[in-house]
Amino acid sequence: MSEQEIILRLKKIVEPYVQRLEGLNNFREETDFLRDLEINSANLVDVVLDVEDEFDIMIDNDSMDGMLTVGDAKDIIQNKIG
Amino acid sequence: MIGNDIIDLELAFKIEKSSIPRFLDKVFLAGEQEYIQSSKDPEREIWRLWSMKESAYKAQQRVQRFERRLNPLHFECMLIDDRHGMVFSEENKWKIISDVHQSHIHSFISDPRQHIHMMPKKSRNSKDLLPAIASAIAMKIQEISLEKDGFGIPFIRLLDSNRIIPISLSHHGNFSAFVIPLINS
Repeated sequence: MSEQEIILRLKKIVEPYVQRLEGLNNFREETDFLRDLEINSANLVDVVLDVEDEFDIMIDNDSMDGMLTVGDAKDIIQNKIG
Repeated sequence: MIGNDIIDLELAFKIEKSSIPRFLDKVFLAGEQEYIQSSKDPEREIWRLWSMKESAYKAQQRVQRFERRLNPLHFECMLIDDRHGMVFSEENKWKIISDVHQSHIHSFISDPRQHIHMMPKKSRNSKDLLPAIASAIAMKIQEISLEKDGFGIPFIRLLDSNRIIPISLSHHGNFSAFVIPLINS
């Protein structure tokens, strides 16, 4: 799966939780889930679960701990799907 | 120390979390899960415990100045009664008060020094809160600005003196809240 495809699928996943919609216009690796998209931290766990479902992977707690940006999520996904 | 968290229960209740083990395992320790599942209202307890952890996290980040993380399992809740609880994390021990209402839950660090709490409804972002924040510190809106430091921790800047006043902010759905330490001088 290409990086671009992963990021595109990530965007679809996070969209329902985004409170700052402008942040979606410039959705890239540096995009920070809390700072740029203002996703509530309670919903960040939902994002993690949705990523697990979408990519059929398990995200352990250490990985979840550091999943703060689109790039972080992309790296985790790439590592898991090999 | 300040730290607070608000939960809009209408929004939070949209997806029932108590029946999603994967969610529970990522957020709650075994003892906390037992407490939740044996309670009369597991969904409400989930969000009470979450808001306790989040309040403690915010206070701890303010003290230790660490980069943001998502590590709810590092914060362990202990309930004392319907309103009071403790959160343990590393060597820290946070006393938390949770006001549990029908529509929302507001948790905050209990501190012997006086604090101001406000909860205007239907204020969706920090800008909407500005009038209430200004009035809480006896300033005018144009005399203050709401900013965040490099760690994303919010503070109020008094524009004329450049003085900084800490503030803890929380938004969720239709609710917002903030806590400001009262400075006795």
